[in-house]
Amino acid sequence: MKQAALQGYIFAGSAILSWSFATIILRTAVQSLSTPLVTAVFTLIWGSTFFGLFFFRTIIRDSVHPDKSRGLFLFSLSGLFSSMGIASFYWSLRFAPVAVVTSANAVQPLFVILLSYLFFRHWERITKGTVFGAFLVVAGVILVTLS
Amino acid sequence: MSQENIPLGVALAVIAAGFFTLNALLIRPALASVGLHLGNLASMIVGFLFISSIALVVNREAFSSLSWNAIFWFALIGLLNFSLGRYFYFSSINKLGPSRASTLIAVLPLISSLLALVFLDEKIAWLRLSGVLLVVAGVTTVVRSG
Repeated sequence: MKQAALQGYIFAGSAILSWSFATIILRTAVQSLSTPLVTAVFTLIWGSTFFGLFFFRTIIRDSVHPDKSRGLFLFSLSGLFSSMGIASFYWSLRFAPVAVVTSANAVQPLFVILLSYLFFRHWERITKGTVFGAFLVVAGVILVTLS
Repeated sequence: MSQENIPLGVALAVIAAGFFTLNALLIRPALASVGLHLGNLASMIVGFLFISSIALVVNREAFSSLSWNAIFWFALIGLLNFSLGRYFYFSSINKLGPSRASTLIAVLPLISSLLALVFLDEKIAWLRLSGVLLVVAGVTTVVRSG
């Protein structure tokens, strides 16, 4: 295996572990430490701070782009949607176990493909594999919910 | 504080997926004029300001009862979720490409479920485990067929 690919797998595994452990802690946090909204406020401010420190150099490099206004507007809009998603996700962890929440939240690629197909047809194409995969995801979420 | 309500939890998680989708769709055109990291930071700061304003109206009293212990755990979640997680994910995309990296990330529900079994003592019935595996298989199929 090439070294770059091995590094890629290690990075992907590390991302999975980081997000999984964060979800485990979140489940406890929203049940015993504070409300989901307050948890979202504090995790976002800490997250922004650490993210700014982690990517300080590239952020400075990015900021010299001459015309950023449209991009920053779209990213700000995405921030509104993202924060509502974060708050909904934290609320869901108050009501359901980690296995259920992470499985139900995994429908996201289906939404992306569906909306891309409806509004940006040149981006995505719907194949038989996509439809079959969507069927598996929906069946899985139904099973998890019924369990 | 246990308020188990699986259908409501599923509904909120699916709504969250809808919001994350809108977020993802906006990022693509935004990247034409702003780099990923600066854009992500701007997105998180706007999200923080938005959620803070709602929380100050709806949950004002919850701020005054926060312990230092809670703030420590929130910092750890912020570090794992928004900094380390994203750093590793962007790095894996850089090394493997978005298709393979997204396919690997699809196993997230399975790993989270196993960790919840170990650390939170969450029971995983066969039906639930079958559902989680179907979701992982489905997401992997969708991502690979794209």
